[in-house]
Amino acid sequence: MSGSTPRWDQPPDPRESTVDLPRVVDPQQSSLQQASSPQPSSPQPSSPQHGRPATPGPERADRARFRPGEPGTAARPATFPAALPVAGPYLTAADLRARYPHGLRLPAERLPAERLPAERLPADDVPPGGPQEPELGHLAPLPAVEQARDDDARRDDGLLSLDRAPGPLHDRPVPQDYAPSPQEDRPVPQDDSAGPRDYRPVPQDYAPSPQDRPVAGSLGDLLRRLELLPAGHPSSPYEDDGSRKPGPPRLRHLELPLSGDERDTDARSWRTGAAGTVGAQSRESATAVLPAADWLASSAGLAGAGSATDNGSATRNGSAAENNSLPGLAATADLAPRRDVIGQPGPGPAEPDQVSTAGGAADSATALSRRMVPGSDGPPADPAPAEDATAAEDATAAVRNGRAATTDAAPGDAEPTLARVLAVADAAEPRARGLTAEQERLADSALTRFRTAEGRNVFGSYGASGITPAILRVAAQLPAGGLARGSDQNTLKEAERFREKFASLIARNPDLPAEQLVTRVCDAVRYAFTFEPTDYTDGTWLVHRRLKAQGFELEVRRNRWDSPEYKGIRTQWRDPAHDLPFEVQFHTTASWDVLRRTHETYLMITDPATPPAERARLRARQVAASTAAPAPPRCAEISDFRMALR
Amino acid sequence: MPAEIQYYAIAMPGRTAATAAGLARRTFAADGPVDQTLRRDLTWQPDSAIVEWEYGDVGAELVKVGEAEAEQLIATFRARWEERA
Repeated sequence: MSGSTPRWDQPPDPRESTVDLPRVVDPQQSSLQQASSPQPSSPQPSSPQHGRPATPGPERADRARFRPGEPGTAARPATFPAALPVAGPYLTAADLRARYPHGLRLPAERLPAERLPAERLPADDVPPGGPQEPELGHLAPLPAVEQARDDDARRDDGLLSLDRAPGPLHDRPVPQDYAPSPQEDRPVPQDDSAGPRDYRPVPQDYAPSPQDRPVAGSLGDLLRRLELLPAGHPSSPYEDDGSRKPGPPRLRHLELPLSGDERDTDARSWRTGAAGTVGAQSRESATAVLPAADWLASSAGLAGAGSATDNGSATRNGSAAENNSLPGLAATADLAPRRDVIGQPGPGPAEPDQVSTAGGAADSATALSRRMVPGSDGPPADPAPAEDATAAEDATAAVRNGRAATTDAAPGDAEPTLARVLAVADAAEPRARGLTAEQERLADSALTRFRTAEGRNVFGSYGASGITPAILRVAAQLPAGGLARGSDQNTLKEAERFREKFASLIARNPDLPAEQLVTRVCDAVRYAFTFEPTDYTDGTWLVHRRLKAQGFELEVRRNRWDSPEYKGIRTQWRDPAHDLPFEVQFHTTASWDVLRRTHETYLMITDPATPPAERARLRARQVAASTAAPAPPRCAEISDFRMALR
Repeated sequence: MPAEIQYYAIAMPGRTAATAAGLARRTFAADGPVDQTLRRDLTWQPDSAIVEWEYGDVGAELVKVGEAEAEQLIATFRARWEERA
């Protein structure tokens, strides 16, 4: 190859490792050079230490005066071309990449004009031969406030060093607001006295100048620094592919619900209850309410005790019936009258002949109409359209807020009657799920304890302590098997489900105080391990040993591989550090798949609203499905266990 | 002919059937078994506790008891709850 060696092929000049080299400029010299020779061929003298200009002050002051798009400040010092030690007037992007393969971001005002979209240049204003460089000394007067910026600029030396470089230009995602802002598009005032205009529009957000930087240590500064991290960095707001990462959860999303009567109770539970009564369309919405990944919630007793779980069962009925194509069942669940018996005086000890089948007798707590007027023993009110339900809910909120229920109703809107408002309010009271206000507070407090024990912090992430981190460590050290697919999505029981389970415990164990029962929700924190059949028994034992080594205490183990309907082993452990239980299930891959596949069937089986005949049919279906999960070898050696009396 | 009834004492971990905190029963009716639990008001209400236990629920142990034991438990509960009331 003959001829002169291209500049990009030359060994890099060590001095160019500092980015400030091109910025070395002496205003006076620059002016002289521009007057005599517009393109210097070599860099200006710099200090011997870092190649910094000996007197950078004027330049910084000049730059501080520039405010894009602001009248009177259109002229800006363009020291960039004057300082570039290259042949041409500007560095192209290719030049920059060749020079700084590891990344460099120049201040916006130093970006060559050719980097910017051509349409952003006001064509009428571009002189022939390209943009001219403004001269120094024709600058707008420095406002007093600029002094502060100047001080800040001195403090922050304003020189781009490599550690400040934001990363390779080509690796960084282009800011979406790269397009010029309206302010940038604003015509520059024609003021010849201000000196030559700068024709290069500046994307303010592309590379903020030191003057635009927020105060060091401020939130804005921290965010800016995060933006400078290379894409894919753990702390970078960008993924590897350049897409923006989802933001961290906000604190208000992590707040616990208000307890007791402070809460504007539970429009959501009212909605789910109403969804169970207004037909197929509402069942669809009810299906949407049911968390898709709420797998383990089913496996530990969802339906609970009669009216105590009616809130959720109405929703689940809709969902389950729809998913399982059982319109008859759905109709039964929707239309059957329900009665909340919690707290009502009973007729005295029941006799065996008082047994009633679900769906038939009046005392079958198989259904609770959310629209039943308090004190009414008659049939449930006629199902109202969903719009009416919404209006009534709004009116209920208005009543709670101390306003008249109908004062805000616009003409033509469905005006909720007082009876309907009261009915909705009654249905939304905590006792609708069988919990008193005090019990609600107990549930919320206990759930907070469980959350703490599980190891999740207020931001939803995990540290080194807690049950989940310990389980993850155990799972990571297993030679075979691990946490079941999808099981880690929902280790902590949802608050509403927790309350339902708590209510069912209260109903089933009337001889125990609620204070004791609230920490007996054994699956408030739950995990599941899966193994291949050949590894199942050894893996299950190994997890047992590892959990004990972590300090957890085994309380209950039930081997259900001999059950025709449910395949697997369920265990209950206690975290002595928090004195709370948690559940661990052991499955083969096949039994786990069966468990997930038959989730809805299980919900219907455990729903007290399901008629006995239908339940028997569903259980037969469950038996058939469970045949797909044969018992693994030697699983019978894992015997049942129950903690001895304390 | 009266329906067959099975009784189960609900024993939370650390308790026995004698110290059970609740009682469940299954009545084999004509159209299928009906599960119920005894409530604080001494009524029997539909409940899925027995089915859940059959599916391996570890929250409580259900211990099958005879009718006499069940009656004894009910009497104990009644006396205790009336005393508390």
